[in-house]
Amino acid sequence: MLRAVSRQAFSLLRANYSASAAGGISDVLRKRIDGLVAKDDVVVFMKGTQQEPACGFSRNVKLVLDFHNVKFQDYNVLTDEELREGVKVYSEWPTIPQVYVKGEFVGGCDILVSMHKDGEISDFLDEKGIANKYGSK
Amino acid sequence: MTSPSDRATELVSKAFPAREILAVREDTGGCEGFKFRILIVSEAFNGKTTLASHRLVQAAMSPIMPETHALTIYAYSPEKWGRMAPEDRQNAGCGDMIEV
Repeated sequence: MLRAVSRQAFSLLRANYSASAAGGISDVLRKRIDGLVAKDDVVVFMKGTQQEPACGFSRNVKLVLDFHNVKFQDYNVLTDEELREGVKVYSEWPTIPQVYVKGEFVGGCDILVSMHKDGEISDFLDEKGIANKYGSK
Repeated sequence: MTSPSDRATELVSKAFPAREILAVREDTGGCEGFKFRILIVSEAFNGKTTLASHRLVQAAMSPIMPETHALTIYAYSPEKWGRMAPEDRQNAGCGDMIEV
């Protein structure tokens, strides 16, 4: 059952991916995402929620942000198909999770994790004026 | 029938003809779609941010992305790669992808 559902979801994703790759997104959706990324300092589009991430990549982003005591607003793309496909086009980034800081796209899981491992994440957050555990502010 | 990793290798090779290292791993594990890990070292990444470098690799992979569930990218300039000790490479997550 679960397998059938996920297969169905996947074929839907495939259909949407090619549709979005070809046509972009509507102005309404673009404005909606503009609003979401502007509303909070740190925004994460993820699978699941910060309390219950539904994918290892989304979970890793949450763990990095938690480690640095960074508060963020999460949006669960699994309960919002329009948003799920919309952010991929909006960010020109094909995968979820996606992290925005002060309205600017920072990256997905690989980039957040590597910023954490390289130690550059505190400087980056300081620069953006975001309170974080190991920052100078 | 070409394997997913062969297809990915071909796409990335075409986009980065001058690369120094290219390793592609694919582990689908019964999940929805391919799960790729790609390590690439190329002068194409000189002076580029990680974000910009990853965008280049994603662009190269775009034909196969509709069938892909997960894509982990390790993209370095030769200079940065050269500065990374084996433990740095291990720590970055791609230490297992090259012959030592």
